[in-house]
Amino acid sequence: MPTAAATSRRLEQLATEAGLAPRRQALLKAALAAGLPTGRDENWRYANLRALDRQVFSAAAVPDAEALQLAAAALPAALEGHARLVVVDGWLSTELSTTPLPAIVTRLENEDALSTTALDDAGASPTTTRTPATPLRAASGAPTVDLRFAQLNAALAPQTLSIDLPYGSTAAVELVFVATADASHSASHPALQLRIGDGARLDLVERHLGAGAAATFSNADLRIEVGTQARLRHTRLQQLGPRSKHFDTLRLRAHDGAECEYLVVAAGAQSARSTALLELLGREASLRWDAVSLGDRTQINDAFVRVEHIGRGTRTRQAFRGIAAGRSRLAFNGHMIVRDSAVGAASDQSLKALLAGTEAEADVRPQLEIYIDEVRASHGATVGKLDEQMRFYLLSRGLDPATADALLKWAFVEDMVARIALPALRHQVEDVMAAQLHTVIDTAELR
Amino acid sequence: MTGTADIGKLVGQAYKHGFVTDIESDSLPPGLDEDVVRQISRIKREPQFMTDWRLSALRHWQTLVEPQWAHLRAHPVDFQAISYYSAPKSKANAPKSLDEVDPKLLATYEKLGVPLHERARLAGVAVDAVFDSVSVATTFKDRLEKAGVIFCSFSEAVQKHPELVEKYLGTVVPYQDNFYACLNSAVFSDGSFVYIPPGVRCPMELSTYFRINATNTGQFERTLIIAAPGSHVSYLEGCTAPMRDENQLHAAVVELIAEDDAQIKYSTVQNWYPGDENGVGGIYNFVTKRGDCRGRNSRISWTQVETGSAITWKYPSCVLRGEGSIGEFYSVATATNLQQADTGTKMIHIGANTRSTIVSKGISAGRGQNAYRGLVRILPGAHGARNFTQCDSLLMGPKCGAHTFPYVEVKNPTATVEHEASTSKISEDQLFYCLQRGISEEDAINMIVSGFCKSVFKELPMEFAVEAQNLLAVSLEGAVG
Repeated sequence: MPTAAATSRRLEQLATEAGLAPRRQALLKAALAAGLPTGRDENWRYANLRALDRQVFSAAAVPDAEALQLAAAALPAALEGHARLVVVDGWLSTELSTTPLPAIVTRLENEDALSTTALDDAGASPTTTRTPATPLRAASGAPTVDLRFAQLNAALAPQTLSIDLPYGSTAAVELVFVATADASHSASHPALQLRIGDGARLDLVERHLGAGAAATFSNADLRIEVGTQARLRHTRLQQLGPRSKHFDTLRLRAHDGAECEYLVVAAGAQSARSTALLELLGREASLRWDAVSLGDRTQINDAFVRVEHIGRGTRTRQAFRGIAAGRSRLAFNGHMIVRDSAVGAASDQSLKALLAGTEAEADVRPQLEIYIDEVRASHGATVGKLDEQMRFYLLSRGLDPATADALLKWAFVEDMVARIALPALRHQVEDVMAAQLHTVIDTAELR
Repeated sequence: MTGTADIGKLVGQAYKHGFVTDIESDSLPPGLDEDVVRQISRIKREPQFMTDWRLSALRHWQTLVEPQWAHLRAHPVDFQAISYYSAPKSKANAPKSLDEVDPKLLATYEKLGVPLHERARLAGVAVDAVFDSVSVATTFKDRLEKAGVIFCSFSEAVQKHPELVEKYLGTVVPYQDNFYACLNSAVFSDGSFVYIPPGVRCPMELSTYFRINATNTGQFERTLIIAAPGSHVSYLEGCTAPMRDENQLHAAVVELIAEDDAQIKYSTVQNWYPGDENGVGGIYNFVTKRGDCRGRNSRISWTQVETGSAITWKYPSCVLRGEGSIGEFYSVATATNLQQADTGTKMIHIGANTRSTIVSKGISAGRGQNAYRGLVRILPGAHGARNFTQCDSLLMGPKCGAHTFPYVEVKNPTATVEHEASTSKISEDQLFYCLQRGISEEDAINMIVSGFCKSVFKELPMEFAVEAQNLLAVSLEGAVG
């Protein structure tokens, strides 16, 4: 039976392969020496680590024309006013991206590139090539095991995409990660580092898509620095195919007065695990984290969000809404930490899950870890079925049960997406949700 | 005015049960191996099944490592430096009556305010007192026997009711359960045993007082309570220890079994020595408590007031197996000075229409760290199960910590689980309101903390509610006075 040890052995083998540069080998060995997460690690309790069984971790080669064609077919309509960056199997595709690339975007060729295939062969000619900047440091108090997949990414990612938004500027970027490579041969390791300068504004839409029904494996790593008085509005959509396996790690640091707004919608993949390690470093830095997770069939979706309040007066508001249908399993683990330096910090969590399948499962963990008394912190969590009173109300007004249930489920999650300012994006998100919920509601009528 | 100075004064009150009774005792030398386990079993004149069970536990324990997941920082425990058996010397192996109990020992219980002596009959509480490792006296046995209630030391139960012990021991907390329960299974030397026959309502509250007296010993008692169909019992447990500079280990196991329509109410006031203001000494309290609601409509209620111990690691749990069974957990846990508490509960819903309620109040002061850790698990067969959890933390001072680690796992779509929690310091507005009306700051804090804990105290039996409030007065909640 495959085990974590077997996974480690495969990675160890990879670490000794001649094609892998010494620097990468060292990174991989260091990650393995520290040990892969297991179900005994508290923050990985609900993750589907069996998704790693028999997984090949070798980075996918530069996408060929067929892969690019598949990726192109998977792309949704472009968002108005947004520069689009498309990363296929970990490689930036200039063909599918906005041309020319915005000046704020740089592609960092990780030194000792994995593949000897010429970039131009895939039509992915580089814009700028230089070695990666000094990596952003890890979240201060995160157990290193939570960074393990980020470490694997660092060892295996062929490129790092860098976005550097200068002081006081404004930008809107749509970042699309498409996985096409078959998981039995290779994996996709996309990497992004993003710096938002002081006072700058960025509207970022991040999508994870699968091409067709391919069984893919992706392990993404995002590192974000939000400058003083800067603002980040970040929408994350995970819409991978039904046979995909996905891991991602997001690390964010927010400085004085930074405002970070997140909407995370996870609707795809057979198995997904998302790790977010967020640090509110500066005074009055604030975070809003809204997450929607929709599970169906035998999907497993696990999210771990760790928010560390370090600066004075830092604030977090976190909400999770999950609907588990079929035999799916949803988990959300929100861990709020208030350090003794975070005088006057405030934290509020509201985690709600709905079970809509007879064999579905929902696991929620709203955690508080507080080291100072000058704080306001609260959380609430509920897991249950549709509200019988509300259902009765709708039925008594002549709605059939299917429509009543669909409306209640829709209302359960719609609040979260209703605040998306860009109508086109909101409609796209609603369409994703409607498809996943198999709703009988005509979402177009709601608009 | 913040009240911080006043809180500091209240918090700084000394531990009042830290005396040592100069009493002769028989102890085994430190160390743990199969010979020690066999010797404990021999001293207790146990039947073979008990010896075999202990040895199996020891062998399993030797394969385990200490759990590290709790939010605790503890000095490593040298398990080979502990004496696993210490008993007060007495005229016979076990005293036949209170007349045979060492007068110094009785004086100890007098100091503690334990109504051990028969003349304390008016207190209306039957007491089993466990000193270091053995039970020294059990009161009101005759009256209980008339009702058919068996209330005796565990050793006595092994001798007189081996069939009951063999049938139920380890069925709720098997020795494989966890590191400390496994250790307890191998070396426990006494404890309390209760059997309430079918349809009997126990005529009085039952109570056990645990006291660690000897140095370099650990205390490993085991309590087994069986409530037969339709029966009812309320059981109280208290504990104290002397002030010593070294950390002493307490690893107990409590197993409760409630059959159809039976009810067990288990209340604890835990006041082991917490260590001094610099964190020197104090009891390491690693306890496994679990109730099994086996029968339909059975009910198990845990109420605990945790004021003592340097470290508390304790999660009284309910396995709600029987249809319509109910589990409850009410807790006040305080952590002052350098105390650490990682405590909470587990509610495992297996049967249909099972219900559970959790109310946890954590109070942190000084440099104390208080963590609530609770699991609510609804299994696929638990149709219509419900849980409500309320978990509040009060912070007193800028260097303490309050942490909440709930786990909600639901596998049945007809279940409803609700959890809510809050963390805050004593409200300046509330304090100001009281001061403005001429109430002293200390009284104001008393009132506020008292109000904070009220929903738990009201669940305690009268005798313990008074004691709990007194305890809070000498530790953190002098405010409760």
